[in-house]
Amino acid sequence: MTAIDWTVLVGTIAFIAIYGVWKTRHVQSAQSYLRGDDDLRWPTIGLSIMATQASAITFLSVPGQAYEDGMRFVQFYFGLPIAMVIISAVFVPIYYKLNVFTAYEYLEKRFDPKTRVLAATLFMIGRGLAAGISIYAPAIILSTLMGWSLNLTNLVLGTVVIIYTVSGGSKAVSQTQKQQMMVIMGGIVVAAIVIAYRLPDDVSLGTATSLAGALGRINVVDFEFDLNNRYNFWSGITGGLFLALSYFGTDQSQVQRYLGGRSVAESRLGLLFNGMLKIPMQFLILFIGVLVFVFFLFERPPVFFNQPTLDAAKRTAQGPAIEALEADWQRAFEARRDQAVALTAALDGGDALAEAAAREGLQASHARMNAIRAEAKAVIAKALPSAELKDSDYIFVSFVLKYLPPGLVGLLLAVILSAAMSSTASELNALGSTSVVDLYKRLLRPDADDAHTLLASKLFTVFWGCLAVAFATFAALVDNLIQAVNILGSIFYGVILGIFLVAFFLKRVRGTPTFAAAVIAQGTVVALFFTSEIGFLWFNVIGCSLVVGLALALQVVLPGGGRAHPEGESA
Amino acid sequence: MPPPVKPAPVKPSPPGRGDLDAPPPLLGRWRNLYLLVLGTLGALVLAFWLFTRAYS
Repeated sequence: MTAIDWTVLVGTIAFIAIYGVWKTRHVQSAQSYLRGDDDLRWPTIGLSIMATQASAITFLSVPGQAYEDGMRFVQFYFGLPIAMVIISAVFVPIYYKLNVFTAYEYLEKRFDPKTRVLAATLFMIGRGLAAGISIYAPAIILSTLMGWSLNLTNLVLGTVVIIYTVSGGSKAVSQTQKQQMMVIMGGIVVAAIVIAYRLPDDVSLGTATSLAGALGRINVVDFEFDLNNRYNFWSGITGGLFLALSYFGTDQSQVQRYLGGRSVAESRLGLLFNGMLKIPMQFLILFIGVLVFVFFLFERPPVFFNQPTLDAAKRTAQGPAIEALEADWQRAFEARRDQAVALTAALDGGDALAEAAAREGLQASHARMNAIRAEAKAVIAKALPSAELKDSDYIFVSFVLKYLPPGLVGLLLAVILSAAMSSTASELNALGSTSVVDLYKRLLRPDADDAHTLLASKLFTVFWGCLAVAFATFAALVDNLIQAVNILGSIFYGVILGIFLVAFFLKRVRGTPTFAAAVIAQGTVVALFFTSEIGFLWFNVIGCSLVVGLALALQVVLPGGGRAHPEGESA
Repeated sequence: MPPPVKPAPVKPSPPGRGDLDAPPPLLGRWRNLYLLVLGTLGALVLAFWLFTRAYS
């Protein structure tokens, strides 16, 4: 990295953190810390919601997924706008009416304390682990490629987030996220323009899309119903809807963002803003991955994108085998490039026969490259048995570091770190709030005054921050980072959503049947995760359906369960 | 006549927040805004499907 890159990177991150601390220096009450001053307007809420969801993983994994697998991942978000409408119409008015600080507070008003504590605990387990991954994901990749110390990267990233989150609480998180989201959106647009500009002169955007389509990368929508297919229209519109409903409607890291709104209308508009913009934003990030894929049709990609691991494998006894594969790789690349050039010429000339021949040749040479890449991974596994072979998370950042001009490298790294900080801050803020409001103040110190509550909130935020950094330090690289977070979420979210749906819509079901149903459903989902091949998005549907079905059945079997508070009954 | 006694401050309860039925700033009713969001989703899915068909 050049001095300009360091200036852009450090300047952007430092400015946002200092701005957050300065802007919220007057936060001195627990109410202000936990929910801001209830004065947020919809643009801030909308950007804050988007920034919370857009973690660094989004920018590391998603373009890599498009490079390897095409654009089908966008279908994962098809349920999101529907969820935004349901949450705006049903959830938000109830939270406002009951004036709650956390989503789980509502469950006690509707059911009983044990259901509230169960939901809060499930949230803290899932989100506590996810917060560690939010820090670890960018740290492992950046430290590997840049030669930074992993522990130091974890520590610096975690400490900066802890400082401004503890300083200003929910308000600091929302204010910094507004800046972070602007950096993120600006960075995405600049990256798309620069990558398109780096394509060969005779490859227009339309031709680039055709080339990507010829190799199966333009697979945005798939209507074929298949339970084992992670991303198709049906899993997105059903599983994605359940996941989004649970995440945005019952996960405190999101609920806290819109509870600080000035009014119901501002909160609703912020959510609907997210419903309108999220899919186009994900589409653009995936399309950036596709453009990187097309770029590497004309520029030789590495046989393995995690360069330090590749170099380490070369230093073992498998070095000659890897070098031989790299020679094959070079020849296969040249053959594929020639076919890509031929297809480009055929597309420009409108020659259908030449186009069909070049398309076939391109697909054959691409298959040859895939085979060599698979072989190279097998040799690396032999050389370094503990090495992580999934290198798709390294594709985009490797491209940025090697091919973007000075200044933009710093900007794109600032985008990745801003995203990491924005999602981690929301998570720590929510974990701290839930710990205090739903457990500490509810079970241990119900008589705590405002100053004590504020101090406890800050200490719990520091505690969760330290735990996240510790988890990030000791975590091992998992299969695919964004999938790891989504899988983790899907295991818990379905059950939490089921509890809330029973609360909102099944007025006659009481606390004890709901609590028992949630415990059984959670056990079943965990068992299915370890023993079945079901796509993870379906865990949301299964967990939620089990809670609703079992709660209805147990309500009949178990007479006189918990109480149903009149305030929480209406939906 | 005894001097008026200032009533003790009453803790607000239950503290609901703001007007729950305030209309949106555009399109008149919330239902219309929800239909706009869902319509945009439908339009995006259709556009993506056409995009997939055109380039796959």
